[in-house]
Amino acid sequence: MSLNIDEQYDKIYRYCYLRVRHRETAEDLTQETFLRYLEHPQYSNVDKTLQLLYTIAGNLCADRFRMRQTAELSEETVSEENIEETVISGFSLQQALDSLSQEDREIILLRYINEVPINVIAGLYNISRFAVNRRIKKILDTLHNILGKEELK
Amino acid sequence: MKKSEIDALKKAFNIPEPENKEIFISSYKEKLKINKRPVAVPVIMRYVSTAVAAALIVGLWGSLSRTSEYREKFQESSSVIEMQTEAVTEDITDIVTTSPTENNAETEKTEPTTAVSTDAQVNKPSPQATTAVSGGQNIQSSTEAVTNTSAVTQTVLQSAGTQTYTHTAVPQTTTKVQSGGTVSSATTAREETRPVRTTTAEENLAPPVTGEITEQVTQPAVTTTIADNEPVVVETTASCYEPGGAVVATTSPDDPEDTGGYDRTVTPSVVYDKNGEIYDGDSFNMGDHAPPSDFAPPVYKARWKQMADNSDHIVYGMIDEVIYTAVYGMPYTQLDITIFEAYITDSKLDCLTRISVYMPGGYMPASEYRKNYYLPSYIPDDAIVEVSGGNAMSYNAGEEYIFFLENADGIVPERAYVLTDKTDLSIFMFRNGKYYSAGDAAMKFNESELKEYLTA
Repeated sequence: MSLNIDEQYDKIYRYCYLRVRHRETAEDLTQETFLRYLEHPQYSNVDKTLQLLYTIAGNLCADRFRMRQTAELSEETVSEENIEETVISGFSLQQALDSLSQEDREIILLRYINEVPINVIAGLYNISRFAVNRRIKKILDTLHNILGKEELK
Repeated sequence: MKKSEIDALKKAFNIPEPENKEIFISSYKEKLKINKRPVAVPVIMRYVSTAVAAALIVGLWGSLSRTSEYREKFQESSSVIEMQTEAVTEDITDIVTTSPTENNAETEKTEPTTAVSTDAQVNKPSPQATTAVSGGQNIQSSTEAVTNTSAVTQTVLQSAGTQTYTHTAVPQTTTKVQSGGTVSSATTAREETRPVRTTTAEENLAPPVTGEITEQVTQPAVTTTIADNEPVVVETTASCYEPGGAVVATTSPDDPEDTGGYDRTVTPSVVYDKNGEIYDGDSFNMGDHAPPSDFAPPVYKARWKQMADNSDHIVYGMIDEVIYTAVYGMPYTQLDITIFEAYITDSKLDCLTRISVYMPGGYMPASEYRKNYYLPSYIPDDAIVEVSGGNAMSYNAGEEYIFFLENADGIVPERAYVLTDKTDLSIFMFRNGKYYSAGDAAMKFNESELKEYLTA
């Protein structure tokens, strides 16, 4: 699979943002991800482009998280205007997402927003494809439950 | 997931747009051009494999050519030889000849005996000569258009029990048109005759009936043989499966409750009975009155192996008690079961442990049911509404099944278990040496197959 940066940039950015919750940091990490990908020894003959990209991004985010643990955490999570917008649109769904574990949120984002194939997600989290499917099903059930069994709106 | 739901998710994640995307992408693409280095090994391998393939083709061609009669004819010739090879495939449909025969003229019952003549499909590649020979100096180098015209007729002759198959091909014309005009044209006709292999099935008819006809029905003796390797029917005893096979029973010494035989059943929030006039709730909740899709049990057509992969526990047990209850206003049935065998489990389901399994569907007073579902006004509040919940069967105490289970899904009480497929597709009953899914009898296995799959 060849890398289409126009398509993947947004997806990796979303993934990073979900991990660090800071726009500029997420964008830095996204760009760093692509640069590291370019320099990666497997870059030329890699068949698992997506998995490599997400692995690099995940490692970078984890590194950044460790660095920030000693510093002040989360100076910006959601801006004031974003909060207002959130209240207007789908506040309950966001609350439901926030109630999920970080990893569950990531899986949902990867699967449904970034449209990452199941086998890639399975590779990222080192679990079987069946386990990914089951986990996604459980997450969706939990979301439905939290939302009072209404359709996702 | 629907597109609207995905859009809602995107909105809910509330991820701002990146600002420096375009700048970075343009610089990245520049860097990509510089950085793009050819990789030697794949390129080498590509050319090497092409060369090997070419050598093989040349060798094969040479080998084939030596066996050809044309090669013998034109061995020493330097002429340009064109060869066209036609592969003829003849599909002959089965010829079925029906000839009723009777052993006795007085027999009222006449059953036709069937003789089946079958000619196997013939695939006969036959090299066909369409050869153009040009002089040594006149080398063809122009484009050609080739037109093939052919038609095939076939007849089957039958007489006195022998059959002959005649295949006649009408003349076949191959015309080559070259830019300089018509170069060559060849016409061939062929005919072949070969015998047809005949197989005959004969059946003895009923013995002759003379005098008064009396109807006599003879039932064949039924013999049931059980193979040695069939699983033995498990009687209702507490003979628990010994760990060491497929059982993965982990125990935690830190958990004081974690002992075999522990009662892990849960107390339902509400209990209903089914004493009263019963109405079918499903029939009132179809079409416009259908509940939201997430209330409906999922249609799950996977085979049992996939279900096993999705299960946290697979246990064999007996239903001790059937309790009709409700979860978030939806009728549910709680099956309290005692486990006799745990084929696979990631927790504490030891022998004789009692657990509660929740499955959608059950019985509920009409007064409760109409709070969440449509029910016609003529149905009195004290009536009972029966809801299948997508299940095919109802269950009673004392019955034994294999259950494919998952841990509580957040909807049912915390320590309860749910069926892997939500419905009784995940419940298997023992019949004739096999376990059949209660929800779909097409899904079946025997115990040895289950254990073999789980240990593989």
